[in-house]
Amino acid sequence: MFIEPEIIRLEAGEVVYERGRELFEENSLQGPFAFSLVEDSLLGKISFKTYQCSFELSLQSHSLLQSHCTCPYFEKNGLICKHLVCVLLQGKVCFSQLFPKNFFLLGISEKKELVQSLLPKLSGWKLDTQKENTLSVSELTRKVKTLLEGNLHLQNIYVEGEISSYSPNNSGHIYFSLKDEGALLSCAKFKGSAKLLFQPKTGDKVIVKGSVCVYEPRGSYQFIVQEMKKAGEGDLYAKFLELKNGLEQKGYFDQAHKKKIPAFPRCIGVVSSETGAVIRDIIHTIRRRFPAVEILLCPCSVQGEGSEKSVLEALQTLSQRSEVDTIIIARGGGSLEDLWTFNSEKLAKEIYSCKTPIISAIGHETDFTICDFVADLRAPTPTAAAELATPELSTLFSFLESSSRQLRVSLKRNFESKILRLAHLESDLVNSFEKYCLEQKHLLDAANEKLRLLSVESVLAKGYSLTVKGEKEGGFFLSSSKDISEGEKITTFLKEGKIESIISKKIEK
Amino acid sequence: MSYETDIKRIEEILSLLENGGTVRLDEHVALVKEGLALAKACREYLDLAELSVKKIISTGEKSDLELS
Repeated sequence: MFIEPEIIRLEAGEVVYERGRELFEENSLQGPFAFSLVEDSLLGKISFKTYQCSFELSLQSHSLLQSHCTCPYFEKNGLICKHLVCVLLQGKVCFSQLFPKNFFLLGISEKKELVQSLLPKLSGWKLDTQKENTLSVSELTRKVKTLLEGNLHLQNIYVEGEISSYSPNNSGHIYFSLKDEGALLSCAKFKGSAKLLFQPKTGDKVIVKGSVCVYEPRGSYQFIVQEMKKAGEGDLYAKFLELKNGLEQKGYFDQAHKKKIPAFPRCIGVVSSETGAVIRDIIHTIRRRFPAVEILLCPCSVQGEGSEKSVLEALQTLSQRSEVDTIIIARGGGSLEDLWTFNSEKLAKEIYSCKTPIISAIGHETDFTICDFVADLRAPTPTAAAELATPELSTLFSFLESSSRQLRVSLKRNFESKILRLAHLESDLVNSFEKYCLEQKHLLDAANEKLRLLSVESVLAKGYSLTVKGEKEGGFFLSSSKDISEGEKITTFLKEGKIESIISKKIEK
Repeated sequence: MSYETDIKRIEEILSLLENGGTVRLDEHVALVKEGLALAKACREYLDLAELSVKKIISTGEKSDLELS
């Protein structure tokens, strides 16, 4: 109410404020406050160890007017020291517990009255230490979490043990326990952490690297694993990493160097053992998907003494055969030692320089070998390799069907559009002919009229005249004396002008 | 025959016809005939195709693979 921590922080500076706050949280302030009311100010005094702290708060403005401490820091600098920070923070707690919320709305005399009545309580006020020492479950757990996770001896460490309950999760996270004769450790390995180089199973002796972590909602501690390797495989694993890094730097794994796997192979070469599930899976998959292909198996030993040479020879044999479109190198799952044949530098070089595209499927999805990295395509399993090497027959059929349909439709459309165009042309022709005829007819009519007039005019020119009953031109031409009576009016048209006459006598023929 | 080239040719014909009102009708008829014939041949080939599995024996010769 009177003092806001932000204001204290500003006035004291970050460093001093933090120290003061620590003192406050450690509950180092023991003695009770002594408060007094002087005019419009509330004066507070308190002993802090051997020092005396005092401050003056304005009831008018609800702000800190001045403060003082007898410690050397304050004496020297005149700035708020850590003791005052602690005192003021405690003061704030004290005020917020004792003063009503609407205090600052009161008039000054009411405030003074209230403060006066509160003085004994204020001065006797002490932190309820018992309450402060009671922690909520969350607070305790957070303290434990801070303690464990903040301890460098428990972070980024190596732990050796035996996997006791292994359960990979659909989400890609793995939960398991490590145990030895004396204890059990819950472990979790999250999806985003380093890929496993083997398939762990219950009973495996492993070394994990990670950190202790407290999971607050369950109040349990766990070991969060970043890396895991089989115990005793340290040397082999290190060798693998060394070879991998070396080849990577030489550009053996560059995407740009990867060859495209042919979409429609005629012959697929397989480097694998001729017995076992791997070759059967491959043959079965290819027969199902795309039987229009030849599989050429070059049998080799895939494990143990002499296997490296055997695989190399098989690969060379197949890469020399021009009819082979794609080569699959495949082997079933096994331990890091079992798969070691495929972590060979010689094999890597052979794959890298091979002209034929190579798909590698060594071990399970979680196993990675140098062979996988160098190959043009890595398949998680031998079956997947066979799928990646072949098109799906049914897809191909539906492509053929849809393209046949498209071809027919395109021809039909072309015909239709041509017929439509023809119809348009026809109707255009008819229309234009009719228009022409009409025009000619008009011309003819006009010529006719002109001719008619011309013939009348030529008659008049010769001295003949034209007689009309009545006065108007619209009257009918008079050709018989029967059509007119005596006394009636006639108009006679001459070559030039016209005359009007009245019939004086009519002679019948 | 090679279905890869056949299928590429079918795709080529389709795109030719799609882009062109410029194709003459007789050309169009010829292209469609060619495309349909290719599709039919491909289908027949695939219908009849049977997987052949051979292995290379030490002399470099091929022999049929007998799976155990």
